[in-house]
Amino acid sequence: MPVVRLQSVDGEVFPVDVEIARMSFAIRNMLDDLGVQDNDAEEVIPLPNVTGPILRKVIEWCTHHKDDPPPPEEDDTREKRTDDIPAWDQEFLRVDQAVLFDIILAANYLDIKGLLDVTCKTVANMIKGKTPEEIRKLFNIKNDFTPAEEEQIRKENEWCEEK
Amino acid sequence: MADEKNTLEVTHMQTGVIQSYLEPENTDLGGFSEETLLNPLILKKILLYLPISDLFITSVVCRHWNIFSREILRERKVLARIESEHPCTSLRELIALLAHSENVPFSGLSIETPWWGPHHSQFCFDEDILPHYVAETLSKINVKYLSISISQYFKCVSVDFICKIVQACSRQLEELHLHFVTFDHKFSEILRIEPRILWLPNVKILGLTTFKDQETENLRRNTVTELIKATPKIQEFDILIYPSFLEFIPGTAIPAVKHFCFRPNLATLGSVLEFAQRGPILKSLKFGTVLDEELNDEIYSPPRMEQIGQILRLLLKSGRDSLNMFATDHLNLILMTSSFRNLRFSNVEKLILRYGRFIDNIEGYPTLLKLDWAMHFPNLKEVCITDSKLDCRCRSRYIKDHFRQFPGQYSCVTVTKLTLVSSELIRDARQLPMFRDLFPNVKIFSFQESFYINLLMSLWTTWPDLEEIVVQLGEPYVRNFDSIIVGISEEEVKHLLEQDLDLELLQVVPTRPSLQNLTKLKKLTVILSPHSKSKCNQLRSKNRSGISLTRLSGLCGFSRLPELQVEIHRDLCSENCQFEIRDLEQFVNFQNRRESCRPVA
Repeated sequence: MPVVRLQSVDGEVFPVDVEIARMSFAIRNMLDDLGVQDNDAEEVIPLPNVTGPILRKVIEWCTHHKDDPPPPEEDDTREKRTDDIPAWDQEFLRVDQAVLFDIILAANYLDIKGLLDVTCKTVANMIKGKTPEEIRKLFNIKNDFTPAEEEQIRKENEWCEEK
Repeated sequence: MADEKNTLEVTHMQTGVIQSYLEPENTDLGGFSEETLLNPLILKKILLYLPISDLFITSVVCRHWNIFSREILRERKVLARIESEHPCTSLRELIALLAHSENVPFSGLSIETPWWGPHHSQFCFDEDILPHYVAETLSKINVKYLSISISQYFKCVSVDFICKIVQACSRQLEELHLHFVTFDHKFSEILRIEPRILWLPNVKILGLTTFKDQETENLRRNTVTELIKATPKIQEFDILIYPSFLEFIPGTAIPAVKHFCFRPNLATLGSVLEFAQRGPILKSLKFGTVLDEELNDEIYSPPRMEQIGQILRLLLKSGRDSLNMFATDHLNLILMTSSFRNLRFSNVEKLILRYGRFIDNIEGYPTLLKLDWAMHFPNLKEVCITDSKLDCRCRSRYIKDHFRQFPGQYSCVTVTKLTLVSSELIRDARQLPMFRDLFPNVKIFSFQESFYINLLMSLWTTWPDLEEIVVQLGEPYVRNFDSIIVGISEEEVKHLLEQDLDLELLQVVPTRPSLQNLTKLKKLTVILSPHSKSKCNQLRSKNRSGISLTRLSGLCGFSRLPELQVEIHRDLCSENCQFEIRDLEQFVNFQNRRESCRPVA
């Protein structure tokens, strides 16, 4: 199996099967644009936005999911399910919040749809049912509304009807 | 060696190019997590997984979250709702709200005008302000979706407002829903739109609430005809299409028919067959033969029945993947499944059934248990049963001897949600065991009733694995139902409440089935309809305390099932009637509606 070598920002190099590396559309496009063939083994691809520990997690996820069918195209506006995270992924994502968010950034940067979906679902589940204050506390977000602005938004919410 | 050198050079060159592809914008090696939620694409992707109720919450978190939460709410077709009781007062309040809005969650309007007109003018604002109201609305809301209920008999400035909004937005509207529209005139005439075709050029979904009687059905047919001509880009009629409408729907609009009511009669059988042969992709189908038609006997003749069977097969074939909901009545369900072989509702998940219990009584056996549910409805998940007085005299047309004599009994193991609507059925708790035999795996049970809360007592033992119960009550009941929750007699409840006892420490042993029997119950939701002050007073006069649920239910009922969530939706009431709110709050999530209980008219 041909391999590419992925280099994290902190210099760690990970040899990865090309087919697994190509689950990242960013890497796939680079390889295709540059005309790198499967037999160009030992290619080193630097990934300057991903640290070694996070890249290791990303590769672990891609390896586990390498035989998955491509994720379906979805209607972007409708609410999507979040109760269908596979047990392996739930366990895989049982990590510190900072690590989870770094995986999201990496999945977004490397354009790995399946990983981005499952990590965003996990964060959505953390948000569901919480109050604004609980959400701010959870993610260390500063409330930059004035009390009057906040009241205005709450009033607008009361006027809403779902079609 | 030379080759190896070349390879290395190539690799280095390519790596250099790749390097330029991926020039880091942020060279800080740590702390990426904080920037994650500042990334608009990521934040929006996360928020897209939230239901509307949570998006209201996330809108309040901070400005950045507000922008994307509001954007998604608008995409989800959230409408600004103008209340029906005093629409012009409500409209005035909306305009006041919009004056301070910067980033509204609305992408449309829902406006209802009431049927009645007397004394209304006192609420109306001055007509001169109307242009300002329309301008303010359109400057803040990009109206793509409209849901309107308008009566030509109702005189109010809000009706003029609707007309002006439709006139201004007709070309940008993507979805239009009309409810209970009364017509003697064309819809465009009521709205004072120039009667030209294509005045709704971008509408993709068109909705019209069902009317029941024949006269309004004809009016609706006129409306449908008019609106079809106005909407060249129609993709979906959110309207129940009857056979008589088909002649007004051009061939190009047939794919937009998603909800069809097949009521076979001789006059339309041919056009329905033609429609079915075009392969409509239906989402819902309603089926019922009509008993009171003169020519009905002919409909039941073998050649006609053959045709009906053929139509049903065609509709089920083209709607194999899309048809999700089916509605019929007890007798027609028997007719279909026993007369037309191998009818398979492959993807139907929801069945709405008008059930006539007298049929079972007269036949002397539970008829529904003779249907091969697994064959006809392999994916059925939800059944909603309404009680119906079906004409049993005609049952011989539907129930044949071979059906009666069939010795087998089936159940439908895939159904997990059962809803019972209406009265008679629910008053007779003896029906429950039959439904249990029919649908043994029900996990969510819902019923809508006013006084017969006693049904709950039977429910505690019918499906022991129930996980959720939803009770919708029409009127506040005038009795206490602690005893039903706790499983003791009403006298015992009264006695316990009169004593100054520490109920938390009290070991109440149920003497009859109680909530405790449902050990897997996770949620109990009680939804109370709006009630009036007179009801409040009535409660207090008939029932000394006027309380339906006391601390006893909380401390000796709900508290004993720690996994259970109890939610009660109610009107805010100054008297706090019906509940010992303070004592129940730790066990019950009260969802209070905005309006407090209405003053007596």
